[in-house]
Amino acid sequence: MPETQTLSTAMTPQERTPIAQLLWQGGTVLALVVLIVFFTIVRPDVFPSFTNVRNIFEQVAILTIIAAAQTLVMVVGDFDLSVGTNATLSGAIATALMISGTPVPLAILVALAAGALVGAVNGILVAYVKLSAFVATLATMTTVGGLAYIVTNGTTLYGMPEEFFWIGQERLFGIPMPVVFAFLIAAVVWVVLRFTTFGRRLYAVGGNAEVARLSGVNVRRARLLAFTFAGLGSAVGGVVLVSRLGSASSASANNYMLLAIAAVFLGMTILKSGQANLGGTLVGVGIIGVLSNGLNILGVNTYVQQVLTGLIIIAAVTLSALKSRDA
Amino acid sequence: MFKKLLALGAVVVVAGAGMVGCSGGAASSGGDKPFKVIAFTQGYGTPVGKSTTDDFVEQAKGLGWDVTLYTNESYDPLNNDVAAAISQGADAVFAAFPDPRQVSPIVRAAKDADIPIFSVDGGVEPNPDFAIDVTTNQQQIADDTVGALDKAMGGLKGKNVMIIGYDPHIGIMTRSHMAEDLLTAAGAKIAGGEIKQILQPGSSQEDSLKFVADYLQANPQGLDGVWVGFDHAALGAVQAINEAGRNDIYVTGVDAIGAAIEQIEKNGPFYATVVQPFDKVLGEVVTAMQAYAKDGTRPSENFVAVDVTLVDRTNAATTTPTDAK
Amino acid sequence: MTDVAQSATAYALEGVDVVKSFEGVRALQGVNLQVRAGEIHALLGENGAGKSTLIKVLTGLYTADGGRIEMGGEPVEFAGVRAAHRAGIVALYQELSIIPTISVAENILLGDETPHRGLFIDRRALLRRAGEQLARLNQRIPLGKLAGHLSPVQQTMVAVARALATDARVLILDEPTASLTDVEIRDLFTVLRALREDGVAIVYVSHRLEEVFELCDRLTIMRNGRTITTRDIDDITVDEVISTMVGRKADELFPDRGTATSTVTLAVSGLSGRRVTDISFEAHAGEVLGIGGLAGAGRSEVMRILSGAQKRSAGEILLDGVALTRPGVGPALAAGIALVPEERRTQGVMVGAPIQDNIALANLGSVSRGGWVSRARIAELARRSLSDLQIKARSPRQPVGQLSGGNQQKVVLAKMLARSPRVLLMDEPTRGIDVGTKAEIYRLIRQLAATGTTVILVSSELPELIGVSDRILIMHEGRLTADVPAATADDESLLSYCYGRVA
Repeated sequence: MPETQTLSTAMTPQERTPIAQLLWQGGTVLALVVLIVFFTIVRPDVFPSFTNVRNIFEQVAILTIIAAAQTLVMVVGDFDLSVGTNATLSGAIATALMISGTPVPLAILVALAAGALVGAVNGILVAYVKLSAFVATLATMTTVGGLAYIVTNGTTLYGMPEEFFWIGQERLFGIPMPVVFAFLIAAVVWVVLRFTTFGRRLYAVGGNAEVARLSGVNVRRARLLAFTFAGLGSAVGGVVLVSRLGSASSASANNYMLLAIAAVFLGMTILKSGQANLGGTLVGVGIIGVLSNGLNILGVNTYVQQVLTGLIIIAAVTLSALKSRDA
Repeated sequence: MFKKLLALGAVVVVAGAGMVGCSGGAASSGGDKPFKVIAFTQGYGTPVGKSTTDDFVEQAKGLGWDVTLYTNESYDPLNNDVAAAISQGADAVFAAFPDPRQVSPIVRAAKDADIPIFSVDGGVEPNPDFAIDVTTNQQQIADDTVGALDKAMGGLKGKNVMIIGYDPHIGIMTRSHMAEDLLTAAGAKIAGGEIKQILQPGSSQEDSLKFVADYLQANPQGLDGVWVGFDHAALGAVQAINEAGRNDIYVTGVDAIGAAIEQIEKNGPFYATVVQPFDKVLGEVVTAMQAYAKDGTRPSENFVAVDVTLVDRTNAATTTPTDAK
Repeated sequence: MTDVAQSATAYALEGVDVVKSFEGVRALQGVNLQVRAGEIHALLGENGAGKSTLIKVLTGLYTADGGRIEMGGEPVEFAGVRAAHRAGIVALYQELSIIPTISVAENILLGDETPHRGLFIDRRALLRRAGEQLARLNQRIPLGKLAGHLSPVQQTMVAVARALATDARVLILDEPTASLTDVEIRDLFTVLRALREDGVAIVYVSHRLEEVFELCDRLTIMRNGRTITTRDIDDITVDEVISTMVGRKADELFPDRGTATSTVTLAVSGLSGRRVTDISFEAHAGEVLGIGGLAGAGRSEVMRILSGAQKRSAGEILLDGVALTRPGVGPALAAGIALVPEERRTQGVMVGAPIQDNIALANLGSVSRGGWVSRARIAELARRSLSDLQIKARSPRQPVGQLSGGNQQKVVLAKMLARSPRVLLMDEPTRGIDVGTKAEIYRLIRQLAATGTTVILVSSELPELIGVSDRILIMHEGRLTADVPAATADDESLLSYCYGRVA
């Protein structure tokens, strides 16, 4: 061993084959790529076709909107279990109003306001009353779910005016409107999180709320706003959904909550910091959408689909946990 | 101070949420004790479940009965609540759409208290656990709807038909499997090889939309008809067909809700649905209960299957939707 | 558990020419350390000298790349920490490995040591054996209490007890007195001396030289991964130690005073809050005001109330004659009062985030325009801060958690200094930091004061308090007991004020 060696602070790069390095870096993105490649190979005539790709985008559009809302809340380190029922309720309110004669724009506005209000209630409970996000949003989820039943009278509301359907059923240069809305909402959330001081504050609160507070960030206000915007986002998703389906049922969007959380969690595995991020959420949404569509095309039983979706999520999250432990 | 008020408000909200599932019963009048009925249903969240149950409670109160209604989406707490109520004393039990496979605690409690259970749509076969079960004729439903598809598609032999069902609901499960048998026997091919299962009733419209849309992607020429076990899901199938720009694929549903009837009237892919006359079913059950209340007569027949009516383009305009208010 | 034979020449623990490299960086370049049984041996050196690396090699966390380790004259090789434990070497770190959510007894007999019959824990044996260990240390700590509810010194005692429970013959303590009061430190020393009588070899790593000189028998000084010297305590002076550690003459640790003016910037009257009663004082532009007192006297609480981090129940705060009325840190920062908090890692920095993001966090207004963040401005701010404060880091994007304690503290400082505050509050600013960086921070404080800023700092080290401050306030149980000029202050009277005597 050489006795004289100058002290250098340069670090030699990790010795790893490029493939292993790629695997390590982006387990989740890799999962998405693998899925796409797999389904393309198995059904090359169907899966990668333009109409099918458009199909997939359309099917995940509303999930994208609701997952974007959930991302905001998870950036500050909380959960929102009420995004699904909130979307359902907003859609139901809009529909109920339209059917009874309220002009479409006003009905939509009221629905969005309702969603934002639910979000604000969540925000107050978590930030000011200091309930745990889990407990608070579980309570609002149940309440709002019940309200949705009441508004729809337990049945399916239908018969909205024709001018409402462009939101969910028209196409803009061949792109379905729900996809356009999803893109817009995702873009807004992305820009806010990445480029604004508000976004920085949200990330700071999520990273270490005490450090943020002592650095002058109004932590309570940041949380309140995150939940309120999430509520608003859920409402948008709910309105787009009922426009797409042409009807509002008592539980139409309730399922989205778990899928949204799964998508955000998948996305969190992409960043080194492990924090929620919109790009990652989109990858998560992509995985869920591609899986569902691909398995349907293959004719796989829905129960099996559920199992597979869960397994993929576990695999992606484990891969990235291994990665962070190794770092 | 502000915080305390908010906390109190939060508690009130949560408590209110907790009470959504329950409802109180009629107060009993003094004097000779009224006929005490414990009513329960797991299906309060579905339009038909809600309307039938509400109807019963209204009729029962009109007859001067003391009714307490228990509802819950999940059978476990429901069983506990109802069994406990039975042991505290009652004259009869009314069950709306019970899943006979999941109510054994209630059956046991009723047996111990020696009181009869009167059931609406509680299964598709005679069941000794119930004093009487009046249901709709699932076989007839299957026959009629498959027949409608036959007419719409111009025959069954060699046709590709997708079946969408929801096995956790015993009625839907029965008729969807009956439809499968009928179609297969007639030489039709089941698209995808097996019945497609909806995962959650709440998202049934979206789920079937996805099934059909994805299936058509993969097999543009491979679908002639879709048999769906309930209207809510059928609407999704219809939408997928419309969006694909097809007018040669037909869909049947069951339940005759307003949205479905509207679709049938458009002369589009939605071809037929079935009115399950739960008002008639309920009527039979209430009659049986009245007899029992009067002098303890138990129903002579244990299982009654009431006839159903097919709704298609010929009579859609004159049919009242089952969820109309 | 080997019974280490003690011959005249064999040491309880010896490292000979220990070498350890990480990816081309030689952290240890041939270190020699000899620790006898029944002695307390100090290990001294600036941050980056290699002390932690050496300890990790000695306790089996790392494997040496060169040299050898011997115990009782026999060469040993540890495959991991458990192997080292079995051989009788245990290290107690600054961030104690106490599990706060389980009981004291369970902490003492953790893991392999937990007595059990088959699958089940033998609770009686657990309580008995844990009690025995605590008795050895002469500590009366309730065995059933949750470890998280203990005071810092009690937690340290539990950690020591745990080490003893594994029959440790060599105990390595890394900054054990960092969060202890003077009284608690006395207790700890009593215990350590008792262990020494028992034949345990103790390696004591600390920046607090007075403690080292009070407690230890011999010391070894490291610098740049090498052993510079090993001496008997009686044989060396504090100044010599400092200059050896630093490699240069360490006079003027504290810069000269003389920047205080008579302009009052901060006027506090009748300030009260949790643990604070009726505090009134004035601070001036260019002045360094030190606040001393025992732990629990309320010093940090005063800092937190002044900075808006804690609620004020009564009293007035006037900054340049204007009253501070709105609650919260934001308004206080905007008015010009900034706080460098007590706990670096949990209150001062986001350990996973880059340096530049940390600095930007309290300066979002100046690195953005109309709500839109400017990456360029963030980078510029970080560059300036890194050079102004001489922060040693690979790049402004390096995660703060990778920096040494001293550099992390500088990042916190940079964050607050970027706001050009009127009043800078610092709570234990040099705790757990090496001598070299301490001197830099003292210089920075004086430079800051020279520009007219008022600096108020809390410190538990009286020499530091006297050396850095122009004026000293002493608190005792929430009240002020003294307000004296530092130039004429002496340790003894200050200490008596800490204990309640009123000036």
